[in-house]
Amino acid sequence: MMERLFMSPIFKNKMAAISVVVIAVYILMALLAPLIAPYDPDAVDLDDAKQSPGRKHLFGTDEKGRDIFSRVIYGARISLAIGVLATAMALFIGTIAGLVGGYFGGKIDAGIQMITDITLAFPGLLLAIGITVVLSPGFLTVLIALSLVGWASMARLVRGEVISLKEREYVEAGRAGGSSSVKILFRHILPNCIPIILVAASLKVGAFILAEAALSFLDLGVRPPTATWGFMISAGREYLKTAPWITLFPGLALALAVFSFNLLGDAARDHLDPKIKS
Amino acid sequence: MISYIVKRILLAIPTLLGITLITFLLVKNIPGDPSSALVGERTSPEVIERNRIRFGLDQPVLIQYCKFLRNISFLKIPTIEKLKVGDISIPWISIFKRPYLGRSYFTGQPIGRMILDKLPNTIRLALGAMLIAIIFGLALGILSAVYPGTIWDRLASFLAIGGISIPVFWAGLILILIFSYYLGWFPASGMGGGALIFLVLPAVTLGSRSAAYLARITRAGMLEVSGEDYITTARAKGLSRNRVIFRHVFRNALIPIVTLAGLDFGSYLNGAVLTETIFSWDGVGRLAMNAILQRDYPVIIGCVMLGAMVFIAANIVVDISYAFIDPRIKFNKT
Repeated sequence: MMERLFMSPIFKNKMAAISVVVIAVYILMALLAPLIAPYDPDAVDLDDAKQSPGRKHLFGTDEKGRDIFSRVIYGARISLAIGVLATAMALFIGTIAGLVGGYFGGKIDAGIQMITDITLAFPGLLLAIGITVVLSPGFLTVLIALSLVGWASMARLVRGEVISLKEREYVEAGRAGGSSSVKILFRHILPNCIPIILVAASLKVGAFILAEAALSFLDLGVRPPTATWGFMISAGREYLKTAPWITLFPGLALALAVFSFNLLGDAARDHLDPKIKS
Repeated sequence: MISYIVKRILLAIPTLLGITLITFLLVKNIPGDPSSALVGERTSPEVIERNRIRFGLDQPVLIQYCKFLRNISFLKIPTIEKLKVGDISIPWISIFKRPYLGRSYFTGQPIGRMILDKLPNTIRLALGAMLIAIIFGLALGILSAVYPGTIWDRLASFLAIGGISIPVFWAGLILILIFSYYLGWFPASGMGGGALIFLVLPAVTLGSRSAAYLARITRAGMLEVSGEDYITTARAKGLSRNRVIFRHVFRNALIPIVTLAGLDFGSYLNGAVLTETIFSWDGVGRLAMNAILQRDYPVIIGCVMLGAMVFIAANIVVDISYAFIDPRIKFNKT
């Protein structure tokens, strides 16, 4: 299954290949930030404030004279970490809820579905804002808020897949052969859900990176002075007229990262669902 | 039809209750006491205590929740009232009341009034955004479905993924930078007393995301329908290309498109929080944001519940509108 997903015509798709490269660059950038960044991202130098992009500062400096290029590089750490970890957590909760609900049905399913429906009925960002305010802002809070909001769509997706899979012959065969429910779920059903889960996950990473940035933009994210793209964009608002680069570059970095994840998820989906392919 | 609508609304009640419970619990647990936030940290304990009693914050949580539910509900214990028509008074049973959402801790105004005051502005923004989403979304989607695999298709797909990927708040700022600071075409913020030109940038900002989604769904739906036998039949009959595209393909692809347009309208309040903050648009989104910053609990509750209710209502309307578009869907088969 994994081979089919990765060794397949997706990689003949040029855009998808490019997006993989871009994501790899971002990951390297995040991991090697201290080696790549030309300046200390938090070093304030008021004499050097609001310098336009040039040879000394590739992306210019912000209102406190910090090097924007270095801060954009460090910002990748927060964005990627939250994007990936929140996806993993939402995936974990959502997959378990979807598997259990879809497989056992009945009252368990009805209960899980009700919680799913309620979560999905909230305006997602407002709910995330609410949770963030309650838990007081910070890295862990953002992570918890995003996964608590994001698991529901995963659960719904997995549940649908499980319901269609559990009537298949090989599941029947497993049941007839006396396998336990847990074994059937994890041996037979879960592996067949993995393709759609992976596609949804790659789209989710992009969505979570955006949501993290939105929270940071509203000053509800990881606390400054830690560089986050969202907060950098918001800090540049005041100087939009005189120093637009403060806002411009973190936004470009953010948009490109999300774009790459969405492109990849899209290509994977087209590949798995040939009905949509042109 | 009517029984279907009633059933659909009844099914939404447990969800609504769940929403009120979660909202209530969240708001209860927000750190910091609103009564001290209101009068300042240095006020005497007696004043703070008086405020706590005034807002009912000294009672057990369960009682607070029940009171809260009673306040926000439309229904009440039935009472017999008399309706006077001229000289005759007719007795009737009244079960409806005006919901009471509480008062802002800060301004003392009733929440219902505050939200109703701001709501028209947000609806105006949402309608503008929806118009933009539908025009650009459908145009892009149809274009790429009609010419699949061409440069148009690639461009449309690229724009569609771009629209989903670009952060709303950043896009808004860049639009301000280009169209208002550099080109001077549109005002950067405010509402200009309702002048349409003030609506353009916020509506584009809020609508771009939906436009991108709509374009993708339109394309996918139309391509799927294109492969059906009845489309081949329509072509074979010698119908004109445009007639096949719009009468047969587009019409049958309409269901997912309507779903998405409807559901997206329900989620505009999300984007409105960011869009209204950037453009100083005096709507519910900005009200919610300010309330969160000031810990104005009742206002936060009001805004979040409004968002959830709009979303649920949008769901119901979408479900019902299915049947009008697609006669194959019967109301009794839910």
